[in-house]
Amino acid sequence: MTTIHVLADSGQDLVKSHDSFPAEEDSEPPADELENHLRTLEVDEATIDYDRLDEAIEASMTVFDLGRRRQRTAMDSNLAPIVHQCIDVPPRVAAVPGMWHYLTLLRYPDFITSRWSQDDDLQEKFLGTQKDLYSNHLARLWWGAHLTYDEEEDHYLATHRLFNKQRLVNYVLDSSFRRYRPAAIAFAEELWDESGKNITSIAKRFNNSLSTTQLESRSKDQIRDQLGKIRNYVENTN
Amino acid sequence: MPTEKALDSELETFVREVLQNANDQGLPNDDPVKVTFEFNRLTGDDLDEYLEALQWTGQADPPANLEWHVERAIENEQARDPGLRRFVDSFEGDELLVLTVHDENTTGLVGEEDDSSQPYGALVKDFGGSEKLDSSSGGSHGVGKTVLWAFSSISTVIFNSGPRETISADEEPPRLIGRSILPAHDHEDANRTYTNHGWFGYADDSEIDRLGRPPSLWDGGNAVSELADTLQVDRPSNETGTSIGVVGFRIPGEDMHPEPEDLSEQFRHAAVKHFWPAISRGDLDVRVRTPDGDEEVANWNDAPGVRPFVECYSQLFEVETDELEGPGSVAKTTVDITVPEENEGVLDAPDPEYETTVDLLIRQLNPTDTEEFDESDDRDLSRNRVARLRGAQMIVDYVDKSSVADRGDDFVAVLVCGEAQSPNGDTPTPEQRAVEKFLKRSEPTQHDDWQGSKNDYLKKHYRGTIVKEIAALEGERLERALAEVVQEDVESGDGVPDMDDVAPIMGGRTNDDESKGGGPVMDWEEEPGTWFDDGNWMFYGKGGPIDEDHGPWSVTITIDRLDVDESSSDSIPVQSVKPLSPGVGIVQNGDSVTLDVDESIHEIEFEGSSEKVVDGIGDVREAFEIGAITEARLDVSAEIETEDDS
Amino acid sequence: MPYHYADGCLQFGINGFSFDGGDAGSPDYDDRTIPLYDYGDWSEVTLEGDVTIGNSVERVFPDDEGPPFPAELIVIVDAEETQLRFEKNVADPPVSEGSYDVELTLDRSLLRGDVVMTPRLVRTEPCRKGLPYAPNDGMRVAGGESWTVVVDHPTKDSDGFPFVYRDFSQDGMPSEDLVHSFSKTPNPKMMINDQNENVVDVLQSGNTYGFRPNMKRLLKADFGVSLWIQLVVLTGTTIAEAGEPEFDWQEGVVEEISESELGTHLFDENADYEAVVSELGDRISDPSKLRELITDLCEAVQLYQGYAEDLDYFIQEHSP
Repeated sequence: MTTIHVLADSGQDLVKSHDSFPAEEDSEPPADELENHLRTLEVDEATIDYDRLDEAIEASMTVFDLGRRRQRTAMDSNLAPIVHQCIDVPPRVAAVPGMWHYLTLLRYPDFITSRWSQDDDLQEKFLGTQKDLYSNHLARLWWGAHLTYDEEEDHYLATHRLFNKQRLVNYVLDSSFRRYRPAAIAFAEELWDESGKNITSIAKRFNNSLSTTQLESRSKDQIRDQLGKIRNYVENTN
Repeated sequence: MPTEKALDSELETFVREVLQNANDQGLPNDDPVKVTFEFNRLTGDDLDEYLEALQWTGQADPPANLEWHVERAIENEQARDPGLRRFVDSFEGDELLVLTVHDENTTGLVGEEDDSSQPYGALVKDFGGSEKLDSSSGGSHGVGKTVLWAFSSISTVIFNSGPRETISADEEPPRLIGRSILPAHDHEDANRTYTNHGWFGYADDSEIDRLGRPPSLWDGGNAVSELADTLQVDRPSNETGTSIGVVGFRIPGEDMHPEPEDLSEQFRHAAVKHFWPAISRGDLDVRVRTPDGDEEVANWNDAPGVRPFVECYSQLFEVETDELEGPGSVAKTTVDITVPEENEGVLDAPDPEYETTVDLLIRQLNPTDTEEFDESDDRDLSRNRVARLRGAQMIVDYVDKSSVADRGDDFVAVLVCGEAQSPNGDTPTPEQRAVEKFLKRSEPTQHDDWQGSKNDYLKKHYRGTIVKEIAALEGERLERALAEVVQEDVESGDGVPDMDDVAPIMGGRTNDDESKGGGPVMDWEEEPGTWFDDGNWMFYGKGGPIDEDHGPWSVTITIDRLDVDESSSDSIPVQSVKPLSPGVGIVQNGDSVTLDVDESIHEIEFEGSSEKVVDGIGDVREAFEIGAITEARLDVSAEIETEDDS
Repeated sequence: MPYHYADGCLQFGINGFSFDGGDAGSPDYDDRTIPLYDYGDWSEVTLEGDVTIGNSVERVFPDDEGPPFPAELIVIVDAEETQLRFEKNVADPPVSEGSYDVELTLDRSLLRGDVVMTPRLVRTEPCRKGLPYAPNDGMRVAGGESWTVVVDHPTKDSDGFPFVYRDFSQDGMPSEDLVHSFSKTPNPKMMINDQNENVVDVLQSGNTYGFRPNMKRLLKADFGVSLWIQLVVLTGTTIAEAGEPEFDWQEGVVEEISESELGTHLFDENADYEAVVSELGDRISDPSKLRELITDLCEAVQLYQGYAEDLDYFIQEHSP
């Protein structure tokens, strides 16, 4: 039995109506106040390894140069599998937005701020929900890993590849086909070395084709095969 | 006129009383007490023999036939019994319904003729007069209640028993005795008065002199067994127990001919409703047999609404938490009770005062529970009721505590008191025994309440606070214990329920600009549509403005390419459009095309096609795979100037 | 669709469900939902139903392909909140018109919120004939209405102004107050002091009858009066400054005024949205009209909330 902390909706309101955080530079979440808006969930078969997670996040922030875009992407690629491993909870729990709000606001606020300081919408990296996997930063890393982890071979190769390409991860986590794991993995495996521009048109064409093709009836290999054909067409017509 | 509800409750009382007596007389083994309600409809020779054995007609002087007494008893104005009169008026000697209640694995009617502390004596004792609350309270022995007679059309009940033990060697089971309780009546010549006791027994003058009534018959040879057989009270086996025959079964105040099939259903419902604790523990087995020979065992389906209570009670020794964890979960808490000190003047070894608790089990309802309540159609078996029981494993009553659920979750609860608090087979603690005695003594004759006020019997046995302690298990102390569990604390940030109608404004403006025009403006004779043909999307439509007083108008046509989410991903350029009506201008704007029409034209017809979507692909199959051919939708928007505008 | 597609050809029915092999429940046939949120702690639910392929299926395959047809019958399971999509096979190819049983077991730890299940008929071989028939394997050729498994209590999107409990003993809160509004933002709220046990007790009581529910009706009217006065004045101030309402809730206020007896009482029978905006802005910005507005507003809001009626009823019911 593990106790999972969850920030209540009222805590979210508090952040949304906060005067300085996160809008002002070097501002911090109102931790003391937020503590009053915590709930707990008791979950069987769940563990959160904070020691390892703390260590990994701390190390990442020193190893990677967060001022450079490529480095930030590389950090995500490196951290996503670790986040997924350390936060070992069933999807039912990972789908509770408040769990991620607690982690970003009360556990790792500095990390989130550093990772996204260049971004316009820092607030959604702290808040944000599952409906929009692009938003909450830790949820994004966890779910991205969850959807691309190779269960049979027990490795995160596709996860690394997915996060290593900003355009790819954005597009995949923004599409509804991401929920079909073979599709998410096929994208990472097939398009990891494609140019950003091509990724966009390939993914768009793939999405169009799903108006007639039933995604769930396709295997990962069939999807890769199809992506290959789209890639050829896109590369040839350009 | 009594209401139907009241009648039902009379029947319930009957079933409760009968089952409670049998249950109390269970033998100390692991087998259940078995009670069978058997209905027989006697006709023809069976009925003739029955009436003869009952001496319904026969010797008239001195009067020894029952009919004679019944007819005169009707005349008693003080003890008017309309049911009796109705029977006499309608009975034609052709049909009679007899209910026999067999109990098995019970002690039977043990006891000497004049020992009123034993089941036999309690049955034959004088209870014909006024029964006070204290007279039989606390006594669990015997069928010493008029309820059996009330359900006989001629107020006559026959008992045949195999008692567990007998006093002398010549007492060989079965033991047979019958009793009528009729209004007192006079002989015509006015020189003799009959009291309300009538007996069927052994005509032994010396015993009649000694006891004031005939003693029971014992089976010397087979004569008594045969008589019992004729009287429909033969025992199902040689084991101990009692068979009780209710002559001419009726429901007091109801019509003379109840249907045994209906009765069977009601009996089983009442049995399950009040005895589910005993049944669920395997201590009691109740059956009903109808004249057609069908036998039904009472089970939860006869009163599905007990299931939530049974579920709740089954957690008595399992659940530890005093918090509900969602629908279907069970929590356990306690209610304080102080049993006052017993009165040493009345009892030899009086108990001291005990401060103790009884157990309260609470189940949060789920939708299945609600369905089961609906099926039961019994206001006791519904949400927010507390079923109360003690060691007898019978539900004393169901208390309505809806007020507690006003703020909180719907629930059912079981209040488990006294000896019922100790696990099966364990010896109860002194506290549990004390509570058991206290509550047992508080029960009125019907055992359907715990009554502290105006209870002389309790007052006689205890010194100290009685009324408040008994009331605690029904009133505020019970409510507080329930509320602690059922009512959830609010936390900062929780929404206040049901406030939506105070200011219904948060949806913003619902009538925004787009729908402001309100409703469709075009009347389509042929609804515009698109279909795929030979590499192009084709389209066609025919129609005009609804409002005939229109100014110039236009129609813009776009073909949307749809993606997986059926949202428009982009548009497919319109390549050609042909207005089939004259006087229409065509303007291409990007992928769309607009048809401009002047005010003199009321309707146009158009057709056209998109660019080829498979250009440069060649293979149609591949065109699908690479997302060139997709689902598409024709988007037609119209703009109509009104006369005023122009 | 660019090829023959039989929409509504598949009839998907759910007959019942059971938890962990035990308790069973029945679906809501009107809404085509399977509400599971009131059944407590279950870990697995098994749904039972069937999918019937109707006769329009013949239209979507060329004559030489069947029946039986080269397609599989599946149910698509889509759990949006837990990012899970998969197919449940109902019938292997080839399939014909007729009814097929389906049994589906869902693991609660993998789900949250709603799970949508949709029947589909999918080609399992390429079609030699090609268009106008679906040419490729993997293409869907028939569909039907879906069912929704409601795993968790739906959070309803309410149009009502939110009332929430708040601990007023915290810093920055008026600890002696009962209600406090918080309306300068796009997301205003009315806060109720949760330290006042008696009031919480009343507000948490249901909509039945008795002292507490009746008192709740009265409290609602009471809160409503002060809330509405604030809402109208704040909205009017915004209009006076900016010419129009700024936030959604302010538009809601104007709309509610124009459509309710508030508008009738404050302005006139036919005051539409635009009229309310201009009148309100006008009366707020002119001090002489403001006085009158406030008076009218107090009257109008009391009528709107049925304050006198509720109070009268309460006194009748509960006077000693």
